[in-house]
Amino acid sequence: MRETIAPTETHGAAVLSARSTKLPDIKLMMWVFLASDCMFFGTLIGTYLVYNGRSLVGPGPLDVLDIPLTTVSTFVLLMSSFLMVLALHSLRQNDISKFRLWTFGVAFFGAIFLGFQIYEFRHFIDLGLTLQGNLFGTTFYVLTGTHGVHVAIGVLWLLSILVHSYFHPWTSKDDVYLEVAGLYWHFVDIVWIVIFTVVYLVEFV
Amino acid sequence: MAHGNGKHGPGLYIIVALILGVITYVEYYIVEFPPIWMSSGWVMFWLIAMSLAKFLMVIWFFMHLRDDDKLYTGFFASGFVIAMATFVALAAMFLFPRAVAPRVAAAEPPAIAAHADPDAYPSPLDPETLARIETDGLSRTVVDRTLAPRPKDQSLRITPPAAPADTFALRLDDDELEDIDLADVDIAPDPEADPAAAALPAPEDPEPDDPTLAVAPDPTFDRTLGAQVYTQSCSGCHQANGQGIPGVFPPLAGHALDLYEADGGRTYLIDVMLYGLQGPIEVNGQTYNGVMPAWPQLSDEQIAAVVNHSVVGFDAVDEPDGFDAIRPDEVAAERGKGLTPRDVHALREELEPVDEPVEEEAVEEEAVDEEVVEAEPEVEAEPEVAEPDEVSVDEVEAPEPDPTFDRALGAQVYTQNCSACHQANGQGIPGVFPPLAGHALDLYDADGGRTYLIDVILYGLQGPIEVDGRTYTGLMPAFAQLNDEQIAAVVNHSVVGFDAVDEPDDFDAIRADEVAAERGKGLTPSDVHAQRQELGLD
Repeated sequence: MRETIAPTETHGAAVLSARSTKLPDIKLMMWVFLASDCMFFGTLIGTYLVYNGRSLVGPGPLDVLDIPLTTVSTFVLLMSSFLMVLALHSLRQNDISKFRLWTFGVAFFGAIFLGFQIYEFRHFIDLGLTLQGNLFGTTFYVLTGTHGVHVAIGVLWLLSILVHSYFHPWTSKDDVYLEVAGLYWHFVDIVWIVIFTVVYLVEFV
Repeated sequence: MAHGNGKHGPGLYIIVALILGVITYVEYYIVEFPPIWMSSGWVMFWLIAMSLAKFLMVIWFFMHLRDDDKLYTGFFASGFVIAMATFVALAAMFLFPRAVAPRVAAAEPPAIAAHADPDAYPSPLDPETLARIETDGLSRTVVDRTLAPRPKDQSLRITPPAAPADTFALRLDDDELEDIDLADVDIAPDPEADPAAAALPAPEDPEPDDPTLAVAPDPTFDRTLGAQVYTQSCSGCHQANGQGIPGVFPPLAGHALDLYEADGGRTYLIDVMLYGLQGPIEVNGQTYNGVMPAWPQLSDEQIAAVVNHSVVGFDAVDEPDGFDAIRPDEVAAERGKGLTPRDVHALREELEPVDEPVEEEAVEEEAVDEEVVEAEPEVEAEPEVAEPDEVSVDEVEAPEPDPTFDRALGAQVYTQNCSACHQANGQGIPGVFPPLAGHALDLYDADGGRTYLIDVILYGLQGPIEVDGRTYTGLMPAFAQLNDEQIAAVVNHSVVGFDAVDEPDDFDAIRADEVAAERGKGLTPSDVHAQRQELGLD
């Protein structure tokens, strides 16, 4: 492991600079970003909860939410997280073809999740739930829509890694770049774990 | 790697992923098929515990916090703690508004702060503010739902009928409009309290926004506006002079004044307008169990004016000397509380009952001559004249082969529950309440129309419909409280019981057991609307 950055270094080890933390900057930055994103989603979920049940007009959560459908999409997102750790593991084993396969799998499952969400939103709008219609619509769409945007960004990020790997041969030394994308992806997953419970499941208890 | 990230094989990940999948399935299962031995509080507990477990497993294993540098954990944990603190603060503001009360108290003028909360510990707030704070935010939060799960039928929420003003105008011919205007103008305020108003009964300057008026009673409000809003939005049920219809629509004349005088009555009256009212109430010994729709679409000025009109605006009511008109800013303060009609009913129960049954007797004789009014004795007579066959009071079944039903019961139920809106002979009010005469027969003839007619009575109807080229967007309330025989009879009455309708030879009367079969389907008024569209009549 190098202790200083050589000017000619171009691959992933370059970020392991000789700071007092001895941690890769990019990974530390991602964790700090995730901490701030945590506050962001915390506020959105809190807003959803305090306005829950206060809509003057329908449709309410019980009128529109579909637990079996959302359970399936939750499962898809969880499995994409699983593929994410497999992709990182394969990269660290220098198994590039499997790394590409799993990375594609993550992006693909993420896209399936987005498909579910688009279907869900369109269906809800057909049922009369709109962004401006009532408090439930406003808080629900802002919360799940923000999460959906996170998923979409993650999918684009993973696809760009996949494309990049064909032009620039990735090795186990580049693992920190994939690891950072993975951290982001897992975070998006745990946010959905909370949303699935708080917005969907609890409503039907 | 420095922190041994590579040392776990995929085996561990597979186990974690399997556990995550199983937990998700268990979560789904206990929500969809809750075990009978588990209370909803425990279901909630396990759901939160399981999602927390998933959360921790993902960050611990998938995000490698388990064996990565503790600095990462520290950063993420601090972000998480700040997020939770923000959430707790947000929830506390809504759940325990008293926590922020000292700031409110500081802003209150000393004169008002002198009022003390009679019970519990002394509070620097006046009772009105206290009442508002205590009822605000305590409905159906997560905590509430854990302790006492709410009913799952959200169809109970009322959407007010969006009836444009010009369609209402059709109900009254010019003479009647003049009558009403005169009546309202006659109600001059006490000359001593407001000599200007007595001399010139024109709309006065309400000065609604001046906060200094809060201290001294101010009887001025926009009387013309109040009368106008009342005529358009309220008189259809509560009748032109606020006498109501005994047993169906409660009287307002006198009763609204009692409510106004009760402790907390000011805000209650505003809340009824803003959020509606649902639940059994008793007025002058009569029980009423209808649904009062909410009128949040009216402006603050309109609501203040119409509440004031209801309290002191009727002929039969003498305006008390100390009358302090409700101001638009009080209405504005009540908005956004997000009450349900049932919450408002709970507020009503808390009101201190004030008994003054004197006014109502006088009111009931009046205004029977108004054409809008479908006073009970009149209407009851009409179906009897109209019905050529069987309208004796006792239970006599008509001699026709198929179409036997209790016609007397049908006419009676119709008069009590339906005629106020759909009118005595089912002609409705164009653009406001759809006609039934003829139209109900069309529905009956349609494929699936029998059950649809029953469902409308049982579950109500919400959504735009078209009848004879006119669009109706009002709300038909549900009448599930009627028994099966009553519903069958009133549906049959609506289909063939009106003068203008010729009963078809092959009419097959709807039976009580068909009504029983429709119960328990748990439809919403919107579901019934969807059902209507399948009939293909609109």
